[in-house]
Amino acid sequence: MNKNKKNIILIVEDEVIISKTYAEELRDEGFIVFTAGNGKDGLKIALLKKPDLILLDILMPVMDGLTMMDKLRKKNIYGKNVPIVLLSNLSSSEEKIMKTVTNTKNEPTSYFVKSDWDLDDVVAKIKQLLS
Amino acid sequence: MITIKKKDDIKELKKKLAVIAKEKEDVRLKLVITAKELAATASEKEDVRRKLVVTAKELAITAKEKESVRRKLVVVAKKIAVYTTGLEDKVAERTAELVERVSELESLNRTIDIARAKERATLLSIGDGLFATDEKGNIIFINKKAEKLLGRKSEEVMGKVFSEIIPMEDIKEIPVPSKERPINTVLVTGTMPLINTPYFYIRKDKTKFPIAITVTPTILDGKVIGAIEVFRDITQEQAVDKAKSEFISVASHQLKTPATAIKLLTERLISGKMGDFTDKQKEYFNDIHSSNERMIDLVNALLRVSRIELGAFNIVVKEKEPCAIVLNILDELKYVISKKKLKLNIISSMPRALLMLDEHLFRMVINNLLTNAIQYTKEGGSIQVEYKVVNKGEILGKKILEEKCFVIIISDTGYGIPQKAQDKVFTKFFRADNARQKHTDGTGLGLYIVKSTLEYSGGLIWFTSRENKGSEFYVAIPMTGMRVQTEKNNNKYIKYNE
Repeated sequence: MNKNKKNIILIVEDEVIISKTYAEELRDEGFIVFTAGNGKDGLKIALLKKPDLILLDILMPVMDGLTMMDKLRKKNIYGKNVPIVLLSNLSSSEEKIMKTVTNTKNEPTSYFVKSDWDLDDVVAKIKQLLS
Repeated sequence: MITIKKKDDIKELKKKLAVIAKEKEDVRLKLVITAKELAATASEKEDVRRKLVVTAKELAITAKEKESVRRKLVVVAKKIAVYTTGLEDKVAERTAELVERVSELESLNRTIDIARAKERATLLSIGDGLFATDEKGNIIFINKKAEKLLGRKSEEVMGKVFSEIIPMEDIKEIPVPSKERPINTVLVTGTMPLINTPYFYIRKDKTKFPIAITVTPTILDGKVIGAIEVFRDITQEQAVDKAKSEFISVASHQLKTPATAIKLLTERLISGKMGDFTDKQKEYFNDIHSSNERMIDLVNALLRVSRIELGAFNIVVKEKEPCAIVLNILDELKYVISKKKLKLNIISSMPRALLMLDEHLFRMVINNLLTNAIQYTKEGGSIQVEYKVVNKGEILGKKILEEKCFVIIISDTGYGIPQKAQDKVFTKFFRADNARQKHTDGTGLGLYIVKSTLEYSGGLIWFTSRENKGSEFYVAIPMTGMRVQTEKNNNKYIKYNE
């Protein structure tokens, strides 16, 4: 992680408690954190704040995570290259997710099932992706 | 008597005597001549007689020859007579046979006609669409259902090339090339191709529908003389499948969201970042966390089970390196392995093998078995992972493989499975008593899920185990790769070696 400049992370998650817990943990770890409750807001904040990494839920009202990711990836160079960690409780055998993740070989996209990953693991993964 | 009277008389007598002598001489001469003539005649006669004898002999020979010829002729005549009689009998016999045959054929024809009529009626009224083609792929039969499904009339398509008149598309809406059409594959190879992508038929009005197809070659004397294709509109099935998997997906999400919130919050509390707690508080937070973890495990397992049981089960295969995946899983588990001071031994007789795998399912299976081996082996024990290709007919773990397989053997020196529990190990929610004692938090679903998953994907699992000695679990995946099994027919591949 860059010592001089704090990394910015955007959390797009509709579950308030989950969003809050991730945000507080990441702030404790020294990140600047923005949150959004759906894909539409997430996309807006992403383009405005240009976070270094996006934690993205999939099932959300207004606009789901996969749609947001698709729009962002197509928007501009920043959007194409920003690391996105998909976090969802949808089982990873879901065809749609796997197709999205495997079809984006040139784009930094990871996928985790939320309930299978400890908070520490997620933080470690974020740090690894940003290093 | 001559009476002599005088001298003259004597003279006269003398004269007379001379005449007589001369006459006598004449007679003698004549006699000599006659004798000579007789002699000559006799000689001629002799000649004639000799000639006659020769002729007689010749005649005798000719007669003999004639006799022999006659005899031969008699024999031949007899033979001809016999033959003629036999021939007549045979002709009569054959004629009778033919008459019988003709009547048999007539009745057979009748039977065939009846069978054909029945067959035709069956095919016409069958609930699925049906086409029959000749060896060139020309349509020779179309049933009512196919006409209805495709919006075509029999007379429009009869005699036409099937793959030309009935267009087919794949999932990407690309027309399927003629030589890749299942019917043509069957006509060329005589075997049904493995169809794992959904196909669509285009109706006459250009609308389309998803289909499930079965093509069977018509084989006569070992040669493919045509093919029969049966197809079904699976629009409805697809909708049901979609609904099923959406339900599971939503249920999964909804059930896991609150559990995830509890998980994250307790992790924050336990981390100490929220300030200090008393030991009892910490203990309770840990209890909440581990109970919550169990709930997540249980939800995950239940969702897998319902996925399996609803058949909402996708197998997406790609060419993968199974050895690399196994090593990767072992790497993820190395922390728990070293924490329990377990010795890990990896045996590989083949560093690189490629197999058509659904990586997610394969991982789940191997991870499950490895986790079991770790959990049910006491500290300091050892775990061995071996992978190899096993040929058809080879015996492994008391079983004969009926297909060439990639086999992963996971063995441990753990608690083992008690004899009386061995036939129940793969049943849902079953846990052996010794396992229950050592680990209270198992779901009893792991091996059930593993076995079901393998059964659905064409693989197999079995084991050998002795209590307090350890277990060996064998996972076999056919070298042809994972595939969707329509029936749970694993015995087709592997049977017990008993």
